[in-house]
Amino acid sequence: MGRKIVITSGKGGVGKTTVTSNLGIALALQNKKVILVDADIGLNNLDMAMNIESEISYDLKDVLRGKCNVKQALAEDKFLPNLCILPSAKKINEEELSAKAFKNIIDDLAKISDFVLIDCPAGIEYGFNRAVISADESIIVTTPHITAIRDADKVINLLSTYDIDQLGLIVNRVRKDMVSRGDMLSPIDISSLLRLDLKGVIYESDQITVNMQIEREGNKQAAGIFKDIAASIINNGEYSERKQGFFKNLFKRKIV
Amino acid sequence: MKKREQNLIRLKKALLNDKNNTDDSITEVLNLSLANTLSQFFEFDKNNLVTEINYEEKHGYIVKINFLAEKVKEFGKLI
Repeated sequence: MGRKIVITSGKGGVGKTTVTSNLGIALALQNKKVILVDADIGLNNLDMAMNIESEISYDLKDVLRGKCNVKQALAEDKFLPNLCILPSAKKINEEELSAKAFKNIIDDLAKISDFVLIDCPAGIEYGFNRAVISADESIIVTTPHITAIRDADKVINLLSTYDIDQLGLIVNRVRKDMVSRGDMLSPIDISSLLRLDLKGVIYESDQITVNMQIEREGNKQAAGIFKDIAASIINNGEYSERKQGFFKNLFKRKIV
Repeated sequence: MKKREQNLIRLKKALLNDKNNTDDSITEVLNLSLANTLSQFFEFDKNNLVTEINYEEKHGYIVKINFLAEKVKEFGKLI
């Protein structure tokens, strides 16, 4: 049975889909069978992030309506055959996609994979509940902006009422220059405020803004970070030997 | 004071305030979901929406939803 991990944040636009797609690629590059699930109904974008939007035959709605089975709805990545995506739908009635029905789909996918990564919708309403209840583990994504951190805190508190392990925190869009000038909260500040282990730091990059797939666009630093996060997840929190110097100290710091 | 320090102080206050005023439970998610759905059909003050979940051995969970609707919407229009 594969591991079921939800990528969530509370606030929209902090990089959940970017993290989901790049973490999926990084896990697949380590020879794991990975399935990415877009749990964002209506505002679905994982297909575009993975550049497969023109190759979708079926989606979540078709699985629910019995037009295809869940395996048929999976779209294979163009470069990695062990990476698949279950696309969301533009519109599904809430009655059709109950939390239980969604959980059943995720459980079926976990049977045929090592990892199911669920891209959670923004907000803490029904879509959040549906995505979170289907997972066993969670990763929180935030940016250094105070509004995003506040929302992440709310989500962390809510997650504590679910039967879910909180794997850690990824801070996205960090600007080294602003952190060093004292104009931006550092990832350590954020991790300390949220009382959650730091799993990774993604620095602001024009490449990431333009191209969501870091590994394929030659951003070696960000690709290396996702590789480390993937290794840490595979090894259940044991960080890889790749981390050196600053990152080693930063990532190994345990904040209670 | 640097912006980082100002933001840290603001955030610490806000997070503490949130913790003191947040239900931190499934009822909060339920309330937000219900408010979202109900607002498609009714015009109402979301602060008046109260959800209560009780467990009774005979029936299982009993969920009571109370809210005061000011107007009813029909096909997106108020009537």
